Amino acid sequence: MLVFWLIAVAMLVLALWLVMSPLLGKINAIGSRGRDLNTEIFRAKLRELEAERDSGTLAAEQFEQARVELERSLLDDIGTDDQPPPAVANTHSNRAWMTAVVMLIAIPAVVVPMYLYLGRSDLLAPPMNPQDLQRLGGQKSLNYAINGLIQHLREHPDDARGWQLLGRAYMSLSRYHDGSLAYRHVYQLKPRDATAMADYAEALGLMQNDNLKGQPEALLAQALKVDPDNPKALWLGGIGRYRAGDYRQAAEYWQRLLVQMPPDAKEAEVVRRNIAQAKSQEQVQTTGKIAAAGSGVSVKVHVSLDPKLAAKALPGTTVFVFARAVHGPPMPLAIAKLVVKDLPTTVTLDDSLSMSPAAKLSNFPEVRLTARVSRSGQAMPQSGDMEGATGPVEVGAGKLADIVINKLVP
Amino acid sequence: MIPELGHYALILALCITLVQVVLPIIGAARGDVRWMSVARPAAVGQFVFVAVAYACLTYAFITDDFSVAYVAQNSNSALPLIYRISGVWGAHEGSLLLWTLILSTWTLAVAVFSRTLTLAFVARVLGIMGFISVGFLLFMLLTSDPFSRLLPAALEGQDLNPLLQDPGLAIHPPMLYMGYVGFSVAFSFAMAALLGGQLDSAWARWSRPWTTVAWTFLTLGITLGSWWAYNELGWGGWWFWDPVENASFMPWLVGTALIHSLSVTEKRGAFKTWTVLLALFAFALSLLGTFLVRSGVLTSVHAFATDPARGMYVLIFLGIVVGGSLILYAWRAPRVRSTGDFKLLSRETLLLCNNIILVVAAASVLLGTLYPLILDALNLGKISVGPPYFSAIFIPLMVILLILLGIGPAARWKQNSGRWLFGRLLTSAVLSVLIAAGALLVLRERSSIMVLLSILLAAWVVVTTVINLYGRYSPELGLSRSIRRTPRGFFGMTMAHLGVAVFTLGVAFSGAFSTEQDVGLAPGQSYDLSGYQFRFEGVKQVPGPNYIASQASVQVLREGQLISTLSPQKRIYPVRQMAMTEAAVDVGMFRDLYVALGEDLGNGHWSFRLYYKPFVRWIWGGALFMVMGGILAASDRRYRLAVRREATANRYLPEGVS
Repeated sequence: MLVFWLIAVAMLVLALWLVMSPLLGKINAIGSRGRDLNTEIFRAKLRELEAERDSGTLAAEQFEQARVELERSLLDDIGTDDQPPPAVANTHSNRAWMTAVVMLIAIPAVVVPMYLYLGRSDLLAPPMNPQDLQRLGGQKSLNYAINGLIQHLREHPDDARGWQLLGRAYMSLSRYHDGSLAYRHVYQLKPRDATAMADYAEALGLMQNDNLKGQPEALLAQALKVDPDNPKALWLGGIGRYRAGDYRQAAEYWQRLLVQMPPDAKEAEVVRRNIAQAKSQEQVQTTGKIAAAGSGVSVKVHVSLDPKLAAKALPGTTVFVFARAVHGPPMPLAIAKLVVKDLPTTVTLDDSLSMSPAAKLSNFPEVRLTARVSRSGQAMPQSGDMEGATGPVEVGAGKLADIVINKLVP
Repeated sequence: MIPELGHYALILALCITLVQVVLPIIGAARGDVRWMSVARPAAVGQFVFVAVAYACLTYAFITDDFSVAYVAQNSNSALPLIYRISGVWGAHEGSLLLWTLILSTWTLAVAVFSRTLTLAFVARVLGIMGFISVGFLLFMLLTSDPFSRLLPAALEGQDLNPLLQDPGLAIHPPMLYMGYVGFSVAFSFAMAALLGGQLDSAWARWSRPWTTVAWTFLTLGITLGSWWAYNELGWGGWWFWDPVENASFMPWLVGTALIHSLSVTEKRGAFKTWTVLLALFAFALSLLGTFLVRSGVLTSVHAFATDPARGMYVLIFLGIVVGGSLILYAWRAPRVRSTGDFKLLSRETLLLCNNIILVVAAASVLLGTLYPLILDALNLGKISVGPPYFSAIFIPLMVILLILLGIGPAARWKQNSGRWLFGRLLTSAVLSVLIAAGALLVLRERSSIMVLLSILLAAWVVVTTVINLYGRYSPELGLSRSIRRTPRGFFGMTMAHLGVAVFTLGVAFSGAFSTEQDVGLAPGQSYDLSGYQFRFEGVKQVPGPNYIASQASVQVLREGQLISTLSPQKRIYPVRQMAMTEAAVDVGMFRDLYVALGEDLGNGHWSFRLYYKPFVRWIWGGALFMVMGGILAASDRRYRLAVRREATANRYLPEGVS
């Protein structure tokens, strides 16, 4: 902090000295007088004209004419010379002094507040000890604390606990990429630690828009091999299996998690509900496939992305395709989740994708279809998302609807 | 702390530059020597503080300071040092800082090397340059701050765009900006002269070397860009009529017109107001080019909509600079008198024709670049303007230009008799036709109209240029004295004009005789292209500092003789998830052999793109000739002579100051 302000003041003094010295001090480089300069150039040009005449680029008769013109232009140049000898004696007076004083006040008065407003002087010496951070409270103190932690880890890169804290902090800020990097350090330092693997898997999953496919699932499987009862790995592993349609395994994982929890905990309730859902889905899977086909009501839609917008959509970004009743509740009746790199594709929406039994596609005759590229991965539209929609589409008519995602959500 | 110091220095630079604008310009109007004298030290200050800011940003790149948002977006801890230094200008904010640094460097150069000019003129020039600088500094501080902090800091950066990780592109932007910004000197000289009402000999004489230097840098910058595109994009092309390229080509065309028109103004006192207008447009197009490329409008006109503040600022600033200078022009130019008189058939007229062609060319590039953007912005549909449009316009214009290029330097100033000029050029004409006929005999069925036409034109340019050069030799003086007597500017012109001929041949031959083939090859398999045998040896994985490359080994044989082993690469940059093609080229004076690695086809098969490109080096070779011509011309003694003589001339020192 002190060093910064010392250098800042030194630079300010240099600026002031540069501006004020010509106002108050000696002036030694005044330059030429226009008259002298143009006369000098006239002489040089006359010599060049003669050379041109000698080399033949200028015919003899034209040389004479050019010489006359040159003389005339010299008269012009001298005539327009707007520099009457400036009366320097006068300017050494009040005006120069006044200007210098104004500069002396104005430059610091502009520079310092402008820096304090635009710059981040708070980062020069951020509060480090816990009491100060506590007093500050809130998000800001967390940010400073994270910066301090980064500093600490740069010097002690072997501190697995520190990396874990850092990862957790980044995750709480939804900075998943940084979170995954921090958790990777933990994983590398403790390669046999199930929690480290589960943390890393979670961050990677969130980084790819809440998708556990690929490396995250592999990490979770490995974690459960090391520690079959690791709660976080069980929880995430269950989600991964559930999303993959492996409801039996999902229910099994969550069951293992449930037995570790106090029965009256709020979380236990959630887990219990999840298990129930997985079990019912499993049933649907075995028996209901026929039933779903039996209800036979579906809407087929072709979804594509306007090439204009294609450049702005990252391949891994989530795309929601959903149907809403033309006359009915505002909530979607059926919703499918894709990623940008799947496009263009054809999606079939039916009752198996419905959000609740009360609002099923088959209950409504006409729907509107919407496709949205969601940068946040959230169902609610946000600025920067891209959208496309159809007009009313008859449910079950068997026609292929078409959506082009071509609008930017402002 | 360092990024904050940089930020502070940038603000200080803005402040002292404001002083550099206000005091000297008002001082010049009021004849206040002390106020005018502030210009030079303020310019020094501006340079120092911008340089400090620039150094701070570079330091943040080198030390992986990912608490600076710009660094976190454009660097990575695995990035090699050279690309950390060039990464500073890898995106919008840093490019603006580089632009400003170069502008302050030019300003400093003007402040130092203008000792013999009148103080009022120097004060106005530095004031106007300062005004441009203020525009850029404010733009940065208000909308595109390179020192924005990321809180909390990122652990790792998102890496520099892999497209920019190439030595050609690392030095391309600074050279290009040296050119762009260099035109600000010509612009400021012209505006200062208008402001003071003195479009005099001193103005024209002083503008010339500065403009030539700027033009030389711009030529070099464009050449490097073209060379980079050839190596890095894997299409084997050297120019794509892409809006980014057009953005740099427009100021070049107008700049080329400007250096020719300045020669008339300086030597003959004619075309004064026209020269001023060209200086204005050359710089306006440079500004437009910078903003077009860097604001993101070209990737999507809708980029403007996502950040309206930047777009509005750019439009307003361009409006003020161009509109303001046009108003000044309209107000002052009618009072300017051109003294040099000339007849219809004279070198002046021929140079005017050159100017008209170059300006028409620039206008059609402008149209072809902006028209699709405007249509798209108004949602009137998308059109693409590509090579067919530009070829249709450029080929006829360039044919006329090359014919004129032969006549102009042979013609006399002021007045020629048609018969004399005809006599002078007849030999050249006959010789060039003979050369073209000879080429027809050699090439036979392989020749085409375009090839013959370009041979004819290139021969015309070379023959007339060489005859002109010979005309400078006078037997009674001897060789060395003849050389010494000839101004260096003449050699510069000769060099640059020969470069045009070399360039023309390169374009025509590489266009007409190139062959290319997309092939899929298995290891050990080979393919014959234009008498060269390309044998694919295999692909291996090669780790790079921040990428993983699949590197193929391709042996090139001719009649069983090994000529070269090429190693084209396909690189994956994991941080950005981008694949890059690194073509391998066997460079030759008369032909390039170019191999780009395509996709893995499975089972060890890979697809390749093979090119045989005759004379393609001549394209850049010609451009380098022009660059050398520019250096020669700018270093002409006659500009320095004035300085040395002035140093001994009566220095005007008012009483009471010394």
